Amino acid sequence: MKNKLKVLRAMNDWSQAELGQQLDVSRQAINAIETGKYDPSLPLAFKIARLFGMPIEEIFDDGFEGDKNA
Amino acid sequence: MDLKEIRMPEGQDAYAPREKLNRNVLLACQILAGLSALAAFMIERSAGNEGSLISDSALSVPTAILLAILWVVILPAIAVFWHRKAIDEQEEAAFRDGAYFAAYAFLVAAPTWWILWRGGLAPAPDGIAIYLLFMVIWTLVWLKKKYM
Repeated sequence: MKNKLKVLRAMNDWSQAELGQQLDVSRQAINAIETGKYDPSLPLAFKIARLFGMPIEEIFDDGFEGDKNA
Repeated sequence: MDLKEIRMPEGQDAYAPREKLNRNVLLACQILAGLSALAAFMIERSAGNEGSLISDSALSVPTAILLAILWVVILPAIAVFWHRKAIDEQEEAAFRDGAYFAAYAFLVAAPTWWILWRGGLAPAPDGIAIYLLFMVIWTLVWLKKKYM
């Protein structure tokens, strides 16, 4: 799943380790999420969204292009 | 919300609490393993056994009990704590993937070896070799998924 985590992290001048500290996960976990090798659980995705003050769907993109009003 | 409002706490190292705990648990495990091996070595030496601990040679009763308790009681207790408190979800997934690959390796290798042995094409199955194969595959996949 694509995501904007790397961009959001860069906007705050955080290292992967620093973001990991905020989310209580390892630097490797942040790297795996940023590179799309690991999709976070729903609780962790909510935690990320809360940290950046954004809705989950603005951070994570599952590639769905259908009618978003449906 | 202005993203710049979110600041890192100052004066702290950049390790998540879980990551610190994870490192400490692994360090404690290494120390425990070292002390246990030393204790077993000393017991065996006093009993006059010169064989290696990692072999099929006979062990004295105290060493066998010590190692069995370590494996049956201590190891599961540490494992439960490690899974619940120390590792994050990405490492949990990496560990699970490792177990998945290792289980299939066991599923394939053990019966194949047994069948080939029965057909006279291979030596008798070696449980320790299969166990080591299981552990090596589990560890390699776990490390690859966590770090690569």
